[in-house]
Amino acid sequence: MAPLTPAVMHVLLSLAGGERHGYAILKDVLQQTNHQVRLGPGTLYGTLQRLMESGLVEETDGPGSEADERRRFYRLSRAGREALKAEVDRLDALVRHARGRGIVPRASRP
Amino acid sequence: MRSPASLDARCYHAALFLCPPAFRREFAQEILLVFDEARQEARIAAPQYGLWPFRARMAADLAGTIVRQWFRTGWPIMAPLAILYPLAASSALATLWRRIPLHMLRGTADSDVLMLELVAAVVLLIVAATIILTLWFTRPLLYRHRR
Repeated sequence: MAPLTPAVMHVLLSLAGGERHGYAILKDVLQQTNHQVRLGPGTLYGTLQRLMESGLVEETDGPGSEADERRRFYRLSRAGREALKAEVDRLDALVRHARGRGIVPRASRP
Repeated sequence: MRSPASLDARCYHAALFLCPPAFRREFAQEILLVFDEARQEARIAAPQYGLWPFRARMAADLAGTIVRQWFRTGWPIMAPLAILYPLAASSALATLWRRIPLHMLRGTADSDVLMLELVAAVVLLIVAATIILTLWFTRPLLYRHRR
């Protein structure tokens, strides 16, 4: 499987925490990345469209509260969870390889 | 579709019409909702800079989305057209607006020139819109010939 793009990776990671609507995904990505990655609405929905077409994300009915009537909710499908896990494994192997070369991420230093 | 409140949202709503129809039908309402919320937040978060950084970010994101979405439809020629058409139209209008001597609005001496310029602008916009719509509506015919 080809490596996931950063936008896809962030969206999948956000949805790994449970079903969310579009704006909640944007906020979550912002938080995940320490305000480094700010997805725009166009990029987000383009990504969600691709992910739904490839079966990695599916739409849900959401919690059904009155305030969220206009919103659409999305969640990871089983295939999406597997794709995310495969990508995290790939990145983990990459980090281990980098460690082997003496390039240690600052956050991992004792 | 919900009617957007702010001028920013109205402009963004209008610009969304440059996206392919399928994408717009599927996501425009929610994109506008997210835009509104992000705008509210930007207004509260950075009042010293105003909304200009937010507007620039949204414009860049939308331009990228328009290009990517048209490429996905298999009709990539529409991508540059969708970006260039509003830029050319707004540049033409801005140029025309600079050339309009506003004092003529009060007098009647050269009002014919003003009227001529306005009619020319409208005709140019109609011609450009006709070209784009023709390209769009002949798409199924092209598909039929390809098969």
